[in-house]
Amino acid sequence: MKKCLLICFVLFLAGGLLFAGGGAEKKEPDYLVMSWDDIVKAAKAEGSVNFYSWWGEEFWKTAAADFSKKYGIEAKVIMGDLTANVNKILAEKDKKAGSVDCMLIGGEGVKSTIDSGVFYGPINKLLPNYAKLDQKLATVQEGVQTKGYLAPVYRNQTGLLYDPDKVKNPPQTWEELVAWINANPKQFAFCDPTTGGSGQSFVQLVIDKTTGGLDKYKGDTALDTAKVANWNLAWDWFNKMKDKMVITASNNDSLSRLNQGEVSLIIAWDDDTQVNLKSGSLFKRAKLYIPQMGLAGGGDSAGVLKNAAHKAAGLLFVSYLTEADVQVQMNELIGSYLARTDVQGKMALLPEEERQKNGVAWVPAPYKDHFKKEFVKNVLMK
Amino acid sequence: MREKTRLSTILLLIPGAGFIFIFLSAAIIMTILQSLGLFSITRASRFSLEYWQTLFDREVIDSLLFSLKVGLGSSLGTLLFSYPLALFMRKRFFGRQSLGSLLKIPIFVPALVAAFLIINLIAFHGIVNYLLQALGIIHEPLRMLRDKFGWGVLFIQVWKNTPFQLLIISSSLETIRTDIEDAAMNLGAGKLALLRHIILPLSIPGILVAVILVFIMTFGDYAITKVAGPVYPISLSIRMHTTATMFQEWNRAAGIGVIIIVVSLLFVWLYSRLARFLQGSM
Amino acid sequence: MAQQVKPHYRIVEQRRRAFRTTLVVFFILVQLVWIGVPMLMAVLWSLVNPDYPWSYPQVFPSHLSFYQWNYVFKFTDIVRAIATSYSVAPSATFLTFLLALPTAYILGRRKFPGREAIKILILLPIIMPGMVVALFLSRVFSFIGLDQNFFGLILGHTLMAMPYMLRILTTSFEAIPQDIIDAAENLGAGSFVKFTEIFIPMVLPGLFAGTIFSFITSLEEFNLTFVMGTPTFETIPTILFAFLGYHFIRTNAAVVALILMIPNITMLFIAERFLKTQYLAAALGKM
Repeated sequence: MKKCLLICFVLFLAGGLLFAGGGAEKKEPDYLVMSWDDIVKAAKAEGSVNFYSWWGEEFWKTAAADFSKKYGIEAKVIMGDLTANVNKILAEKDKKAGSVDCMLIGGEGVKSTIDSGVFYGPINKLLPNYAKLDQKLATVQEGVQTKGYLAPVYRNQTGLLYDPDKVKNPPQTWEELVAWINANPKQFAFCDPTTGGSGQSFVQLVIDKTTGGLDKYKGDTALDTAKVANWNLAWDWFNKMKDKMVITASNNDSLSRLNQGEVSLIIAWDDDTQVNLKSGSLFKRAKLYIPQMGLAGGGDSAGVLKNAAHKAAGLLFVSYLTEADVQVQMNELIGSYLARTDVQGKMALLPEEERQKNGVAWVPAPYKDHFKKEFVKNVLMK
Repeated sequence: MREKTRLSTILLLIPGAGFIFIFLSAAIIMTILQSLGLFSITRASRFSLEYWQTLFDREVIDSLLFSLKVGLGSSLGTLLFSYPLALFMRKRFFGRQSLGSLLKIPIFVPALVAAFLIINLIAFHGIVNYLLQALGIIHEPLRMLRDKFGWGVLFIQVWKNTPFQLLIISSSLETIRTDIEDAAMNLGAGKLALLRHIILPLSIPGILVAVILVFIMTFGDYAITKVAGPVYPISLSIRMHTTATMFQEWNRAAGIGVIIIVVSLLFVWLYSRLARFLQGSM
Repeated sequence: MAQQVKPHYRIVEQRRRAFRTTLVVFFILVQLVWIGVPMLMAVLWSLVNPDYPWSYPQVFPSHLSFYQWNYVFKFTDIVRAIATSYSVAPSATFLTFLLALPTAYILGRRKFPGREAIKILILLPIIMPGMVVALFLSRVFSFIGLDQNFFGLILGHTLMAMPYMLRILTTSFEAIPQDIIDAAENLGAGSFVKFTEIFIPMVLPGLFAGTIFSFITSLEEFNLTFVMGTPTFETIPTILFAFLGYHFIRTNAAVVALILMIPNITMLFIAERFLKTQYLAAALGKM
């Protein structure tokens, strides 16, 4: 009996030691100081990677398949929703191993994620193609200093999209647009700024034209209440014109209403328009342009999560998205405007010169947040 | 009851009823606690009634009124269709079986699919507008989706809930004894009088159940209103969800959740009172 | 011979019957349109040819193609959603059955104080506003680590399916005539035999009905899955919601709507064929 107990005890200790040994924290290599070739090797050893996005599935799924074939690493793309994706990674922030490796990030998500420090990096010195990406977007995205943690993946631009059968003289200046809206009631549509960037672009335009320009907000990292004191002029304008315009529920809702003939002039994203054209959800004759008065544009980027289970593979995937041929593929499939400045895409709906001339930057994130809330309070609720 | 059977009764109730009770009360308790400031995510938890002030925000009141309107509009609008249909289906007639099956189909269609189906029909250049214009009834297509009133939501809810109300009212009409009707007819009552004085009063319990059930379902609806409802005002459930997930103001959202629960329970209580009252009086 | 004249009441009755039949035919046609046209539109939208966009002023699309079906299956997460939906549904149904069986037996066959109250309490998941329960149950789940978790999803679906299964099974158990059980007991049948030879066979139709309703409820479940499951897990309803909302692409939505609806309707028609209406009525509250 005593011998039996002794054997059990020894086995128990041995098992415990095994457990301790096996469960001991494996020191994770610091990819930030490794050479790129070593990172590729480590990525292949990791064997799989997942990437969270929220639109443009035709490109992401194709890219994932091509990536898997090229490196032998199984890539999975999950099409979620920007807000839901951000909530998820914020909720998983303190977990040792999160379930997201790398993700597309943009819009309101940039501020909350950068502020919470969920990204791994900085990766700007690491990725081979980083210097060839649009450096403006790489430094400041949505008015947030991204400090090299994110790699721009594509640029985008909002413009005016119209039905040439119904709109003979597309408006170019602010006065022309206002005149057009007055002459064609309920034919102009923009989306609720809380649900879509195209709506935010229009609200920003109105603020620009009615409250004295956007330059005063440049560089601010927090909301300066003095500068927004006269925004009531913008809300008054909206309330005055509200009945002559249509406010839609989302980016795609605007496009759908244009397609159905309910409206004939809308604010739309260049890439959204391309996707709808390709799938047969928008008539082919639709025309997109950036008016001379300027409309907002920016882009989205990708980052690797600090608690990713497959960091090396995540880094490799993000870098893959910046490869020249992949950028061109993105442009072909979903009409995105390349983040690489040295490569030209053929399928962009807006020519480069027009973007450079008439594209306008977004106001810093705190102001964007503010005008979204204020719009709901002062325009939608009345 | 013998102790043994009492114990076994409780034990056997636990898996089914206990399961429901545990999870449901956990959810409701969490709602109430978060509305009181506890279990906070973004800031330190402390008991506070400040979140209940959200009831008096204009946007919450707008949402409450909108949800009430959708609830009552849906249930009464459905009644307009289901009650006459139920009356019609009482007697046997040729084709009753087929009509009955056809009428029941929307029950089998999931909410989101129903939303999609009707959205297609009442779209700006959908078939309904097309027909109305072709018949000369209107000159401009009607904007029936995402309109301020909520017609899109009402159409979808009526389409979806008509068979459901039909089933309830039919089974309640079946309980009306035919000898009462025969007696009335013998005494010279015409069809209309029959309806007004006998059938209608006797079918009120069934009507009440039908109306209140559909009200509760449509009042707290999220998916259909999100997909077909107006940009503003938004329904109470949508406001609650957005406040929680987009603005991360969970405590405030819990306050809205409490409002939804209270109104729903109020109507359930109302129904049980009315039902008991009317049953007692019969 | 005098010509045979139809008595007055006969004529009235004939006219009334003719009127009725016309009305019935009219109603059937209306119903066919009421149900059929929406479905037809959905099918047409799922077959839009991308090179010939269906837009104003066409009433019907000019060319059809399977492009949309191909696109949805290839590029969206529908395959993952179908896999999730059809693995959560059977698991949840099975769990629901296991948990409901003992309770239904007690509720159906044994009288005890509070029985009626419990029968009403069971309906709470249907009566309680769905999004409130979903949102705050997800909070509870995230505290115990079941948020964005497969088992958590199964538990959630079980919660929503339980009322139906319980009500139907309870009705079945109640319907078992007491004299059969008494006869069996008289002949010396023990509990086990009673269970396997009498109870199970007699509640089998109810079991079948309950399984179908629970399965369908799980397949259609939206609120809980949307809050607790996405974006880690997608089910067919959550994907349909995405395609109807912020991601509104009508053609994709049409395909997914059909994928969700067709198995549903088929299953429920089969169920309705083989079941007595008492089960259908017991499942009142079906959304």
